[in-house]
Amino acid sequence: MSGPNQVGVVVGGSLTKSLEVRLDPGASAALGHYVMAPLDGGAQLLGMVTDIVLRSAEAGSVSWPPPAGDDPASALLREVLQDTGVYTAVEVTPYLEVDLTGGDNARARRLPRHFAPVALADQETIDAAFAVDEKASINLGTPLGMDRVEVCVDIEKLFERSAGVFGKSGTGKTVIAVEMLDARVQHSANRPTSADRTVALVFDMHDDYGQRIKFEGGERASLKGLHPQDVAVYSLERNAINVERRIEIGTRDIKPEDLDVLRDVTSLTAPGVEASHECEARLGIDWVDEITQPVPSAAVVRRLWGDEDAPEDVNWARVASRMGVHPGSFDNLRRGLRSLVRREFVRSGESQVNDVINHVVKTLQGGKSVVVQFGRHGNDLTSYMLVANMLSRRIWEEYREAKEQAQGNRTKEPNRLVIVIEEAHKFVDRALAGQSIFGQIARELRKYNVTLFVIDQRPSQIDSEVLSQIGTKFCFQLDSDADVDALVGGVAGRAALRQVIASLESRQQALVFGHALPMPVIVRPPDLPAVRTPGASLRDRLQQQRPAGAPSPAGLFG
Amino acid sequence: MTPTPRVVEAGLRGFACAYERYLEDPFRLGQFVAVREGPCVVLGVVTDSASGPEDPSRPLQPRGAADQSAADVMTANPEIRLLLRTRVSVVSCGHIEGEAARPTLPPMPPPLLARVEPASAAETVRMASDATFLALLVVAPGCDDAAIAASVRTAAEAFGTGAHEFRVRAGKELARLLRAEPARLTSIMRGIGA
Repeated sequence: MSGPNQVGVVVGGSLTKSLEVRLDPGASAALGHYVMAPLDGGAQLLGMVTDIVLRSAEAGSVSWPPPAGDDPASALLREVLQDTGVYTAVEVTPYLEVDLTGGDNARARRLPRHFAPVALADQETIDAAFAVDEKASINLGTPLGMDRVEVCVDIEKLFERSAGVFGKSGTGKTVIAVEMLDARVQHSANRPTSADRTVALVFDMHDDYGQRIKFEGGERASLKGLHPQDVAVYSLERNAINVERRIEIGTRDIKPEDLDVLRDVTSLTAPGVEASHECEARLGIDWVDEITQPVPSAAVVRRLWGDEDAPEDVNWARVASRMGVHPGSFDNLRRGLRSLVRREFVRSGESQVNDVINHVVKTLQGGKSVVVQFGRHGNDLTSYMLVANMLSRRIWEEYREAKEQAQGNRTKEPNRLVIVIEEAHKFVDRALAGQSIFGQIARELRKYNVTLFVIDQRPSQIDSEVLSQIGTKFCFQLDSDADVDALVGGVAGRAALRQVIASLESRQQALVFGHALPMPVIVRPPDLPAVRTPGASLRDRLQQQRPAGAPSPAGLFG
Repeated sequence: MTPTPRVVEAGLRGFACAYERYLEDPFRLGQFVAVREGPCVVLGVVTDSASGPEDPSRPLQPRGAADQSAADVMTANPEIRLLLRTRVSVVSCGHIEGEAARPTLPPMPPPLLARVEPASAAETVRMASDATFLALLVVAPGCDDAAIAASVRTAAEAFGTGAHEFRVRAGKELARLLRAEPARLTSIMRGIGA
């Protein structure tokens, strides 16, 4: 192998750390580039450039560097010493042994010989490495500096387990999430039956997943805009238009377990939330309406004191004492609940949410994805968390029930569901992961056909057990060492990956690694063109081979 | 007609040649020369040149009036030139056998009294193109840094428009050969680039 793609030769290294490749004169390779080197037996070792080092052949060249200045002798000496006395080497972390003849790929267990030629990986090798040629896949983008090469990932494998997109604000998290979901919806639409479709339930904090997505590059069609027949939008806004249903929550719908996750974003304390269990048990289904009143109602007095003589001046402090709850905790609970019920989408009295849940579940199981838009409530984290948690818990319970009733009969099982949440660390932080439904979903993997797609800025705040269950991770630029460590901890070659993440630019560069990929990849995700085609990043052989104008499988089978 | 020197001492690693008399403009330092007699053409680089009396026991005495130049004195005393000799030291840097130009030691020394001629530009380019001839010069005891630098300068002239590329190529070869002697490399490179 010696061609235009060759960049250097192997001069040393180790399997557990990295290969050292001396660059050929005039050749260059950048962090994140894929390179390959031949192994004995015909396979190619595929690795990623994880460091670049300047070396000297002997100490003399750098101990006595050529003089600075523009005189011809100095300039000539500098030119002469390049790639002789001093040279550039790259460190390559070996990941895969790729069999280009169609055999199975394997984790790197061998190294190329000394002086083996090293070349930038070509499309054929990348495709063989990611083994997507026969499967529907998503185009993740181009590896950095390799604009002619696309990295694709098996779409089923990507959504088989929970996935996460992490990065600072403005790095492109939402754009790539929309791209992934767009491909997901398109691929599902091509499936013959609803049961075969994987659907998404998106809790859309900033209205990015409905008709349009706004980002720094402008405004583009989003999920509903691209897939009007396959996506249903629900909204918390009273006057929302073009939506399936408005979501309202009745005070009777609020359960003590719904309050657990709000502790971080409201003034609710743990004893306050604990008191809610007692209130529900003692005051019945209207407990929220009751304790948010200025004074205890006759019904409360009747329930607590029954046939006994109630004191004449019953107040909330006496009520708390009667229930055996600390008055301070009880006050904390009342304050927290009063702030909740003031929200426009919370209605006093009747249960509202069951009807919505039924509708959403029917929509999801009918093969449509659902986007829950928060409108102006999107800036209110409490509203977002309350609704996302309440809906997810109940929908997950529906899925669990359906799955258990199917008793292993695959035809009766519900279709697969991906729940998309933003600000995930608020739901599954270290203190709350045990209580949060999202922690449970992540831990149970796909046991009930429900997985997570989390979008977050602070992965270090996510419970480590939950984070370890995130199968595929998209990592955009992160500043905090703790966040980087949380993501790469436990991953082979984490020291090198840490350096790679540190080198990511602030926009549109991501390190993707984990379950769906055989090796990490730094990519520049595809741009969103002004005129978008549904499922533009989907590579689907079935779809490509269908003649223009022919009905889609979905159209044939409903 | 320019006198032609002849080989007066010969070895595999180098040889000495002498003119029949004193010559003001003998082969220049670093010049590529060729001995075309014998089984192969031996190519070498001039590393030293010296002139003096043929008989060391009879040193040259200064003479001439105050206003006479050296040329005037020689013209006025033509017998002096016959008593003097110019001698040139050459380090072998390769040989040509048939079509093959090899930057290695010749298989045998050039014949004594063989004529030593300037190498042609084509011979110089063939011998110097990959700059590996420098390996012989770097280790030759009689070849100092100035001679090495001069040889590269001289050879570069034969490359015409490719002179700079040749200088870089030669420099890289020297950098490889002298990787443990950065000061020497710097000294030679200054000589080349000057």
